[in-house]
Amino acid sequence: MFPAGEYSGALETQRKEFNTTHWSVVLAARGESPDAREALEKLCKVYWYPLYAFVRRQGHSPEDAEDLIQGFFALLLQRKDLETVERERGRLRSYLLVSLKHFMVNEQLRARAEKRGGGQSLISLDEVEAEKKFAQEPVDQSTPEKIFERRWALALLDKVLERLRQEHKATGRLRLFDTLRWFLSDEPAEQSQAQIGAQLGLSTGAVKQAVRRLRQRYRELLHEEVADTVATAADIDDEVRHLVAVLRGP
Amino acid sequence: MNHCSKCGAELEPSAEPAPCPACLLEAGLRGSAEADALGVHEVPEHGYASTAEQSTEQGPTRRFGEYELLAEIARGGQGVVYRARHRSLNRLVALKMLILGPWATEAHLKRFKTEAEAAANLDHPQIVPIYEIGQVEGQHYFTMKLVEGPSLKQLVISGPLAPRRAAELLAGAARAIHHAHERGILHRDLKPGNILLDEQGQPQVTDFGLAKLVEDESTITNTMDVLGTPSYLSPEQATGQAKSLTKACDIYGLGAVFYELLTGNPPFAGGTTMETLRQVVEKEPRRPSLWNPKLDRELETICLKCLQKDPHKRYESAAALAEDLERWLRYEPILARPSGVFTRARKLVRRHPVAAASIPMATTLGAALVLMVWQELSRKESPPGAHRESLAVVIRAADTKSAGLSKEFSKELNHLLSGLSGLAVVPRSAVLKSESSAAPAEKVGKALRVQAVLLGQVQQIDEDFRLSLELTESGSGARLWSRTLTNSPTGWASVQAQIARAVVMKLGIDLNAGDRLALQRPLLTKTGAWFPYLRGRQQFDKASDTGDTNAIQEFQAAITEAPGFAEAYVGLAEANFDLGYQFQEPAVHFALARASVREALKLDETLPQAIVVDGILRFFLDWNWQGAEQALDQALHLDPSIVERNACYLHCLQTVGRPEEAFRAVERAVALSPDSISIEAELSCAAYYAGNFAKAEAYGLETLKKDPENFLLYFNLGRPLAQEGRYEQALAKLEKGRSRAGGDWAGMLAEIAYIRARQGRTNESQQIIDELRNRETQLKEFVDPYLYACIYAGLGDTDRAFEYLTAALNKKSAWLPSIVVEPKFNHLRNDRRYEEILARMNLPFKPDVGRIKPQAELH
Repeated sequence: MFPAGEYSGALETQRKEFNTTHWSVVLAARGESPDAREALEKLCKVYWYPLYAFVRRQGHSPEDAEDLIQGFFALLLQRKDLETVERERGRLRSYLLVSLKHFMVNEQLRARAEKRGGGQSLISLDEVEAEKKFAQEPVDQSTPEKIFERRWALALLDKVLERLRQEHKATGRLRLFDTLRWFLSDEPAEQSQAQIGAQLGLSTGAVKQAVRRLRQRYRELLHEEVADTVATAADIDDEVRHLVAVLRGP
Repeated sequence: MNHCSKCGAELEPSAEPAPCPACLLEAGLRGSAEADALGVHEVPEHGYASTAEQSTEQGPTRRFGEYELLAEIARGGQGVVYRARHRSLNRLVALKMLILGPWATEAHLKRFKTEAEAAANLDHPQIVPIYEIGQVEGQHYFTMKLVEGPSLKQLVISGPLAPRRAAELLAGAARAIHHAHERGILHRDLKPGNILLDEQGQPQVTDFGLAKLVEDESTITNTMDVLGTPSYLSPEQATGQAKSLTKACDIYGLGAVFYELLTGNPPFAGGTTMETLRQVVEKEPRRPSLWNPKLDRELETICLKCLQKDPHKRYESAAALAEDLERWLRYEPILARPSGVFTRARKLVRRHPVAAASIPMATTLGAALVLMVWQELSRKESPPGAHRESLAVVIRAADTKSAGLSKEFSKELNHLLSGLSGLAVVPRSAVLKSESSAAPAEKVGKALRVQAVLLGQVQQIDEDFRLSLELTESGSGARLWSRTLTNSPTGWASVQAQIARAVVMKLGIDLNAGDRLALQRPLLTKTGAWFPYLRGRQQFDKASDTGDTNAIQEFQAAITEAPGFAEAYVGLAEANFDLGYQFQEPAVHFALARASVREALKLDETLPQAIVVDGILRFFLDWNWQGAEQALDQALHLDPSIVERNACYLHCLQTVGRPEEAFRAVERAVALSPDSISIEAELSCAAYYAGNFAKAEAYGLETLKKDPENFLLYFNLGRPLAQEGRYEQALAKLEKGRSRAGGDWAGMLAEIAYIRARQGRTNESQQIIDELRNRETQLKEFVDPYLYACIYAGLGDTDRAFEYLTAALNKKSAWLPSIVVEPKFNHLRNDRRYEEILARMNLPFKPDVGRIKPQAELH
């Protein structure tokens, strides 16, 4: 039997976090509390690459992009004017993009990222990794905004899948995860279920249930992560739909 | 780009198949959850791989398809190169894996394949052959012959090569490149690291086209950002014209390699990628002989010809380069002619008629001035305990909130100014008390016993600052300078440089070369203004009508992006000045230039380039001779290299009424740059303006021998001959010049018309006048009224001559300042109208000027 205790324990902590999502903490505290700061920092860690891609696509060099993002985060984490965000409609995604644009406009006038950052990094950005990633961005006519949204959706998905993977790894079920993750969006055909079962030493029924279970957990984690970026729980599905539309394009 | 078969969404190119992210996200929607949210059952435990097992699956394997990877040889931005063995052929190869391989798009890969196949067909003893192009598990790679020898990069680490060896190696590489060019293949990425030595010590060029192609095509922006080290990049690549590259970019690359072999340094190397790029686009490389004084000038000439910014000015082929190198190796004269920083002056001359004489003089005067400044400096630097001004830097915080920033500024300014050799700055520890007090500057100065005090107040306003500064002389309490600075688009470093320059200017501090480096504004902007600015510079360097017009647009775009960008205003001013100087009506464009330079100075009154342009406008637009000289002196003091860049304008320092002085300056300059044709050409011009026509002819002939295709030299020769009355000889020279490239300009025509007029063949003279008018009306070319004045002076039509001189005056003709030394006008100098013109130009009336006796002794 798999260690049920661990699993449900993980669920519990996750649920607790769900009640006070990062973004709602940030919004409620208007940036004043250390918790809010920490929450925002965590969010920045997950979603910095879409911002980076946005800046790069606008024509800035890797170094400048890193400086800009660091400077932006520095300002973001210091500022106390989060009340300017409209609480009802506030989404982290739009908030970050709009703020970044403002920041860049001001930065053009100021050009003092080198001063601001002062060499200390607030969020550790792996520029080399980022450049590798950015080099893969399709050479098409996408606007920086589109790139940003697309990267946002993928960063979100990455984060969810990584959490799912870590949960499985922690309970020694990595191989199960690696095999079944293909069926997160598609029900496996009867035939492949049998094959997978044979491979994993499971009955077809057990495979079916494992898939179902994995999908459910995936949904929970996805909702948690999305919830972290929107102001109210009611916005979660909207946000997911928006991101699906982003990925599917026009 | 692949698409999801279910929903049609674009899929990320990826090494392994992955689920469609859009479908995946959709599956996460709550609605879809209900279907399988029913019973949750436990899953049997068995059959799970442990994490340990997992890792063995990806365990390190040295196998790669048919190959066994033996060792990593090199690693770069585009890939990793391994020493590898083909297992069945048992052949050692170099295997290069492309980092971008798995993510390349279809079209991109196809192009890579085509290019790689073409490169694989290259068969030349000096080209590393490509064996195979392929992919293993989505990883693209190609294999090449394994060349075990060192690369030229490794070779130059220990210093420059012997010039002969460098020339041999480069000739070999150039031959190889030519072979590729003939087959339509560009290398695109020549650098010392891409040329290897085989066992016989022969050069082997590797990495043809491939790697750079991958990089260029997968780069999203205009390639500017993702370059590794752009030190060897051609200016056209640096400005993102990757799509329209020609063989000239490889000629440049060869030149860059040669430069490093000869000097041990790449032609350009800034602290940052941006800085290097800026240099590639804007700066002339340091002459190789400055690194290595013993270096043969001819090799330097060959090297610099390859590194010309304008692709058309480089060798027309790699073979031509190889031939010139081989000529040198055989001790034969080379074909390349020295040019470098003086080409612009020559271009100006080409387009601009009569100033031919005065412009070349300018470059030489410039060079001579540089020397003088340097001599003076070294004299001043040498004696120990030389005079130094003393200064205290006191920076106070406007409020408690600003205390931190104030301390920072105080430290940085103190550090910056202490670095200037001519300035003794009170150590910061000694001013701490004054920083916390509110004592006025004079009091602080007297207490600290310094000549001057730089007193500042800092206020931090959110993310910005306001720094109010006053420079006060302690003794008199006189305020020497005051200014309120906020941040500029080019960053804090440039604000610092501005402050330092102001102190230097106002206290009259002597500078050495190291000081000047500190004063240079690090032109780095993190704004979007950077790209238009660079493009503007490049357009301006074309020295053409359209180049200037385009440059104006680019600079304007830069200013829109960054309204405080002083350098962009300077660029705007320079481009407008050039338009007026060479191509269009001066009065209009000089006025536009003035408006821009005023803006630039408003932003930074210490910017040397802005001061120079201001000086030039004082000369050509305001006819404020003294003011011009002062401004140019000021700029020279801050940055002598500026003379080189503006050499062609600097004749204003001495041409006006001082022809003999000018001649001697030219002689000094020639002694300094014995290889420069354009400087040598000025000897003839200077002698002409000094009235020594025999000497002008002798110098003209001498120079012509060295560069018989240069139309300007025929012009220089024709003019003194005409003044000596040897009209047919003069005409023969001028006609020859006219048939050379670029020789058919208005100035040449005007000179011919002048001679025809002197010969009494007025019809022919009139015909040319008609043609010039035609150019004006039909071709909308601006023909300077000054030229007509020259012809009418020849025709003896004094009224018309003055009519046109007056028109030239009103149009601010750029030729007009030479009126005082132009012998064609000698017979007009007693006319009241001549006097009036001089008066309107603020020139003292000196009837003797321009009447130097023909055989005047110049030495």
